[in-house]
Amino acid sequence: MKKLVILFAIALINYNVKAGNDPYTEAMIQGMTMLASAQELEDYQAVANQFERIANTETEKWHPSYYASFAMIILAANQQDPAEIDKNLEIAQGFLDKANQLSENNAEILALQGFIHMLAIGVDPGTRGQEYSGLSAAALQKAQALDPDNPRVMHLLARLTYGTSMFFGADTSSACNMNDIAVQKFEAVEGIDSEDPFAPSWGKEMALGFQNECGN
Amino acid sequence: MLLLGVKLLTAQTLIRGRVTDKTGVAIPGANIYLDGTYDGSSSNLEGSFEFFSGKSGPALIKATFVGYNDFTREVELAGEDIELDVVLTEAVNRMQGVVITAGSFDAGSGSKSEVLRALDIVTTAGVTADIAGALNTLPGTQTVGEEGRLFVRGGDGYETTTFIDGAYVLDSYDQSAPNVPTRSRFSPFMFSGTSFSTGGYSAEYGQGLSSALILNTKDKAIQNRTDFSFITVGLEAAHTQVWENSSLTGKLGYFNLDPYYSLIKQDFDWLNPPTSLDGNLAWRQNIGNDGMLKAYGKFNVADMKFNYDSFTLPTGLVETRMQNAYTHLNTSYSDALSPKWLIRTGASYTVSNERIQLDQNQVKEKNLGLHLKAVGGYVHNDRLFINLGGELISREHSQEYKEYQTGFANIFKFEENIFSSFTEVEYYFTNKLTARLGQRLEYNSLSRQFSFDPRFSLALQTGNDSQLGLAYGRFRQSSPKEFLRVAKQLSPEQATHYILNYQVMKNQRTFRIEGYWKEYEALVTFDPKSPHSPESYMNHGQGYARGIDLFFRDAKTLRNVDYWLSYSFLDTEREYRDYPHRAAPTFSSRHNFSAVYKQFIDAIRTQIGLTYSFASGRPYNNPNNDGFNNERTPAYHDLSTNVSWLVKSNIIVYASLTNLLKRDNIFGYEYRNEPNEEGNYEGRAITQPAPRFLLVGLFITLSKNKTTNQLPNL
Repeated sequence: MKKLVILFAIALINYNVKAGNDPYTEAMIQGMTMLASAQELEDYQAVANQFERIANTETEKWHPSYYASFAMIILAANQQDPAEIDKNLEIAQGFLDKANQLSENNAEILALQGFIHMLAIGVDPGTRGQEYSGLSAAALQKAQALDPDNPRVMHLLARLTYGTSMFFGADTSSACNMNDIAVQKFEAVEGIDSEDPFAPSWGKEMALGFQNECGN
Repeated sequence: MLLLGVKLLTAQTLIRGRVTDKTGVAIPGANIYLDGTYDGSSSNLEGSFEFFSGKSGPALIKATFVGYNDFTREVELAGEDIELDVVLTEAVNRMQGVVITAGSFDAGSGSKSEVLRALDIVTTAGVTADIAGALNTLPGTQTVGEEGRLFVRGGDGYETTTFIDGAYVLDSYDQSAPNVPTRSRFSPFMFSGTSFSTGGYSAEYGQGLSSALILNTKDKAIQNRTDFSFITVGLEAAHTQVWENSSLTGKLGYFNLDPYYSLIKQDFDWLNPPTSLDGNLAWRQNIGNDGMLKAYGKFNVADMKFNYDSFTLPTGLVETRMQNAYTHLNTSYSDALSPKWLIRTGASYTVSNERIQLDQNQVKEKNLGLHLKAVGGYVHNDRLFINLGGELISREHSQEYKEYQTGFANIFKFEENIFSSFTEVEYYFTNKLTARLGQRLEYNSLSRQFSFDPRFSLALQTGNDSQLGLAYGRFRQSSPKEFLRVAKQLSPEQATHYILNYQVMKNQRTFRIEGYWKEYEALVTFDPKSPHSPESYMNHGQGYARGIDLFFRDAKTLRNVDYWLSYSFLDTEREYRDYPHRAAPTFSSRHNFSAVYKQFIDAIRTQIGLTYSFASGRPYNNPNNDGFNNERTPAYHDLSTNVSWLVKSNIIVYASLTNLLKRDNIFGYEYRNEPNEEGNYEGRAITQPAPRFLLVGLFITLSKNKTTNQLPNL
């Protein structure tokens, strides 16, 4: 199977708990470890399956469905066949809907929602551009209002703005500035232990990689 | 790697095996687990899996993968290894299954059967954002240049019926002067999905002999925006306001062709070129998780004045004024009552008042239509779906004629109520074979008749990307109002469709061939000598239409280029109206071809489009010669172009020009009613009012998200 086209470089996923806890924590740690070391498309499918198994049992917790969705998003982002992308985004959406029911108005979940819509644009920008860029922007803006310091939200907004600017041949510098702010936000939260052991922490390497695309 | 650490524990049971489909092909990525626990694993590329569980006693093993039925197996965990052959069977359901396509073209539905994208309706050259115009580039349609309506598979213009969100639309075209093409009243920008059926459509839709144009409006808007359009023929302003669970869009337009006609000479004696004022209001409300309430209102007033020589009658030039006031209200509500039951209800109300002033004489026409409808969709299981519904279509029509000098006046009118119910069952035998069986029961209050119309369609997947389709149905439509108002006893006209379709869709290329046979019965005939006598009208007409439609679309071969080719062959004859015998009708042409080309040029952010249309000569009747409808007009050719230039992300300049080759197309001939002194009937060609139509527009969008524009609207 081909290597991933976009490496999301999520090696920086943190989970500040140690092994030897309850079965839920154990299973989550196992899933996070798999996610951090995943390289091939099938690894991400296995990650999604692991989190789906946890989600099936833990019907009160949003994290398992969130990470299952995240794994499917990465899977979709690394595919070429439009039908496969759509199929995996649909699965990702299913998991995210479940997470959203358990934790409403959660900036992290809204960020993934914006991400899913953004990836859907790529399948057919001419047709989907307007509707899905609007949907993506709406989700990300809501996320930003809920959690203004969230670096992932800022980075995804930067990506969305960059994409639309490119499509319309407009200046991309404001998108790149947004991404620089996202990097600062990532740095600002580094080293701060969240109360939530499985709080999402991915994205910094994506933002750094994106800075290269922006040319600085 | 997946077994991290667990081996250290004792009393472990190893569960391993291989996941395949029925033919033994490995299924990678399946999720295999002990139900109710975290214990499990995924199948690898060879389909193999293994995992340990520390549980003991009876347990349920589950294996799941998208597109397949869940696998379950009861096992006993006792420390001994468990070997499993997991065979997943393909899930048979709508998601995976073949889609019925015979007779229909879908745009913007997002479904697998989509042939056009929503955008295509409005970005096709020569169409100038008219729904009927865009659909005229598809096979199965005949170009009838002086009408602007949809003529489908040898059917007359009135045989295509429009539905918006399931509700019947009366009078769906703008009023127009004689032999000046009309436009659809509804802006394509309102709709997210279009299904254009050229025959054999679902039992849910009645009152269309040849074709159903099913339009679905957009759901709740997602952002506030304000749009301004400045076009050579008018101005438009629209605003959308969005709330958490609802949105409201208002649009106001003013159109006046006077400036345009004074610049570009028309071969038509306009005194006051058409002006109109158009208002639209659309309300969307999400209710609960799945409920959606839509309300839409359209209000339009139009006015025009011209000198017209009807030619057939020796009246000479008649000063004619046409005024029209049109209101259409449409509400619909859809919701999921339970996972098994979906409901849709709709109501539409249309009033159209037309006043035609012919010198001192006046014709007043009033049309009123009400449609109430409720549909329940029942999901029995993944394979079996049932649709049931009931509806009432109520129409009122009157025409009043007054002569100023003689004081002569008469009024013709009728009221009609059609009660109908329909049932439709769709069943997936396998993912490759599905069939839909339906029936429609109607009672018509004018003819006082019950009628029963069966419908059937089938789709069979023949290869990875190809499918075969079949459709049959009987269709019924009330006789046209101009006859019913004189002769209320007239029965509905009838048509029976037989359709065979083959389609290949692969890699953004679509090829489609469809053959059809249509039998007409009970068409209205009358004696031209006594048009005001009810007895002269009968349902004695009949006819047939048969042909082959070809379609090819390719968005793949050339970068940023999308094109499609349509060809229709039509053989049709009918005896109807005042035809002395069976003959090819004047709106039919044997060969129709169109080629649509679109290219987006990144460097200048411009889309250019070209459309070429051809129609072979149409029949017309020359009373100076023997026979009936024996003559043929010259062939029709048109080459049109359009350009959309994205100046900034929210500003678009659009230009469109028809008939680049400046061809003088002739649509038919009119003859005097009475012969001249030499005993000949003088004739006149029906031609285009101007060789070309030019439209230039500037579109500006203001929104918080500055990259929004009206591009999808063009």
